[in-house]
Amino acid sequence: MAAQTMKWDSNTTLEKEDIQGLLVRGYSKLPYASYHLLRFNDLKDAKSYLHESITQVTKASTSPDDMAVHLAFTYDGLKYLSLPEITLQSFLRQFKEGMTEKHRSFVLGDEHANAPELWEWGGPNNPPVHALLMLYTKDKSTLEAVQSQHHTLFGHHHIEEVRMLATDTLPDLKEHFGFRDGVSQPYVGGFSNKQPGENEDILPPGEFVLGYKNWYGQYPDSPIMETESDADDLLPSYPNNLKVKDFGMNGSYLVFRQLSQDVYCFWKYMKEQAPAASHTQKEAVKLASKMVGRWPSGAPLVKAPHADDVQYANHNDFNYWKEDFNGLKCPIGAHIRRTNPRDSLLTEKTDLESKEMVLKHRILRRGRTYGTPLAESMKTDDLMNAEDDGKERGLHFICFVGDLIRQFEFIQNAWVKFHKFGGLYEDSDPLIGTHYQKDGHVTDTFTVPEEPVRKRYKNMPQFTAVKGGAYFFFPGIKALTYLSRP
Amino acid sequence: MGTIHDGFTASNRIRQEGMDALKDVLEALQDDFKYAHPSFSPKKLETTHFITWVIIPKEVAPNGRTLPARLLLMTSYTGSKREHLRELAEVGLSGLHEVYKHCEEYHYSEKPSVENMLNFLRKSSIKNTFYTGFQYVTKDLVYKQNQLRYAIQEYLDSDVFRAGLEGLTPGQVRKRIQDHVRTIPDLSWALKPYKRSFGDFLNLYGALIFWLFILGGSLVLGILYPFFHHPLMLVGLIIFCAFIGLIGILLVLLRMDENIPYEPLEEVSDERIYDITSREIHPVKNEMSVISPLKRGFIRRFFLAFTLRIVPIVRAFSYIPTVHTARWLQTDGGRRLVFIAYYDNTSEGYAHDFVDSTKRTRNLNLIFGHASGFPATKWAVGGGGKDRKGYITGVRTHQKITGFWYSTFPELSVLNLENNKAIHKGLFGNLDEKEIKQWLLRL
Repeated sequence: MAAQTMKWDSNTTLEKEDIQGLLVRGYSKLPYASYHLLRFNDLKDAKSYLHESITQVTKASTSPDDMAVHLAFTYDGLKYLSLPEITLQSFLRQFKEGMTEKHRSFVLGDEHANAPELWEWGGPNNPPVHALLMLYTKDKSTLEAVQSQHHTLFGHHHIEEVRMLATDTLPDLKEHFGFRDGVSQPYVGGFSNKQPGENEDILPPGEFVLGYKNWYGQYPDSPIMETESDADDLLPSYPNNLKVKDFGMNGSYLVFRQLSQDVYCFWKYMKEQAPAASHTQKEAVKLASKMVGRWPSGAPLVKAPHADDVQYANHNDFNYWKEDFNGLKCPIGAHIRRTNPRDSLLTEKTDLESKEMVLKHRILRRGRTYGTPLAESMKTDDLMNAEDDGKERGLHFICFVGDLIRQFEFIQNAWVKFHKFGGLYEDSDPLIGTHYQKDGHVTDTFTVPEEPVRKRYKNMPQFTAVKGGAYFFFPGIKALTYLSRP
Repeated sequence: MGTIHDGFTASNRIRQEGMDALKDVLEALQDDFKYAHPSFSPKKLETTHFITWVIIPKEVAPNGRTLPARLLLMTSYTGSKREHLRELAEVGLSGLHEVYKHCEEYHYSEKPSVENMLNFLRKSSIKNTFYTGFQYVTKDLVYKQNQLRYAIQEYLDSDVFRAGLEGLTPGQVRKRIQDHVRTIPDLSWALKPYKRSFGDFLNLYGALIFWLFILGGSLVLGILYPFFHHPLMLVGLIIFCAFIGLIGILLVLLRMDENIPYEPLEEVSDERIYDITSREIHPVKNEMSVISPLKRGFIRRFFLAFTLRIVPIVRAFSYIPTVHTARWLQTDGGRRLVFIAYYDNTSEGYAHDFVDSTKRTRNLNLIFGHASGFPATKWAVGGGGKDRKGYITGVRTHQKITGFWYSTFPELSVLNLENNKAIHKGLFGNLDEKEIKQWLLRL
């Protein structure tokens, strides 16, 4: 087992009073949530709405039991709120250009079925989005109450709700294909009092929160503000330049992608691949698990290579280099081996070198599922036997990063989309990759290493499709207060 | 044809009045990556893997010296340089003429003869340090090895192969595959296993063995000198001490240059970065050219030249698995550093390969540490790329928009090329059961 890697000065104290709580906790106690995409129509009204909402915004210093509220903004939204030009210009290029910029679509694999032109929100054919309101509650009635409260505020302040994105929590932390999700999250220094596992790596908070040092011992790029623009002296000074203010301090970049899951198509494909006269359902689950890298219970294939084993359902203390170098247990192209290759980047010479590289590209996930399950029980047998109900369901993928290009875009491009990942030839990520055949490039194959020889599954359809998405800035409380000032 | 993969570089000054026309010519030859321009069809070149033409604008170095606008032609080829240049001149005569009529050293107003073009290319040639991720395969062999793998893949997917597979030993499974390959006349070449020749071995390790012999021998002789006082041993002692002394002096002088105040670069504009990165539109392989004047300091160009001489000697031990080819060279009396690479996927990921690994950052510093605006190094390998932001800014500041580039096999990654070679090597190679088992996992 590779030793623990730590890059965190334990003397660093996070200003949790100024950090929005969603950054440090996923609100497992608040299973009901909704996301509201907003468009401002009047500057004064917009600021007034923010002013009234700020008191509700949940700080990282508290662990709410009943409700949490958060706000984030697109670049267009910050522009609308009249941030000074110098501040706007100092945001990350990727944030300014937006998720749907043409070349970014190529980088992220938002082509073919994922093309922004087909999106339901956030795309070039959709109305602009200025802000994202995120509501989390302990029960449905509380959620409805707080939604109603905000809908009233929207009306008062001439704010258009471009789209409301509901969420539905599935049993056992599963996602719609029937697999336990969210088992692997990075441990971030200073986020909680919980002790890390024996081999768990400790990531520096600057990987996710602006204003703190990152893996390179540097402060992540953060939007600045001229001192005179902060007349109330609300914002802290910039760490590397005391002459300007740090608008980004205690904030983060939030990536939002609505991923629609075609559960019927997924299981249909799995069943079709099962050899004739075999235990079709068992084989289908096995193949699906190979694509995921975990069994439906969440047990990683590296630990339970032959059959699902619930004792490993929450197991996350494993690696690949020594345990499964050739991918005979967990295929090299499996979803979890791509999105977090741990110590197994075949482009490196040792497990330690591989781990050193991988740790520079982690994200903090906070997504939630939406839509009713195809089969109420969420059992794989029932899912694969269910008829296509034509209903929309999927995952609201949400993650936080301090550096969009190094973290989210790198993972999405180099590990998820790239069909040559790990020495493969035609394999984009089986679950969230871009599957196509064009101009001599084939990306819709899934290879399962086996002895004596591999099996290839070809012509994989697109099991997920991006339906919407945008980059948001998730400000600290002080920055949010600044935005609300007239 | 030989199988040594090497790089050719030609450097020429651009006529000031021809700059815009030259850019247009290169763009026309690029032909939107279709490479079907009537005056230059690189697809017809059998010896060539990669071609780049890049324009370096006139600029002022940190020491105040003006460096002229240049056109660099950088090709990579397998076989002899002589054959490569002849083929280039024959196949691309019209295109080369269109390009070079905008350069100062080119004196032909009408299309010259192949011989004249050859002479021009030879005269324009400058030394480069070349790295390749796939050594000892010709363009033809790359094509064939990919064809072989494809045929094997199709067979492995077939019911004929899958029937009765259980219980077979790895050797028996390979035998099935061998028997199948034997039935395909187009793959008859594959029946003979790929083998690296002694010449290839010598090319890769020869210089290293030579220098290890010289230095190791000198060290041994030097150690023995106090006991035997033989003149040969004295010579050994002198050679070894001179070598160590030279490195020591170079390092001390470099350290003095490193103390010259560091002049950080201005942030590169978003528009400029977009202009560069948005040209990376190829799903597998892309290209980058980074060209920079050297930092101030007397010793830098000599230290860099020394380093670039060492790199080929130890290249057998440096494998960068995302790089198809890379090269470094100095122009304008050593005052400019030129770096180009063809790599898998995008430049963002590729650039990170160097700063996300401590080991690679040290190696990077040895060369890029001399480039203007690159973060300050300490004793040649410390600091530098550890400043990730400064490093990325340096790369983007000095990255040039390449006028023309071409690569063979745009659909194959470096690891694909290596794997295809290993499949060819192992198909009829002399392997034991354990090795065959591993070989089968490559398929």
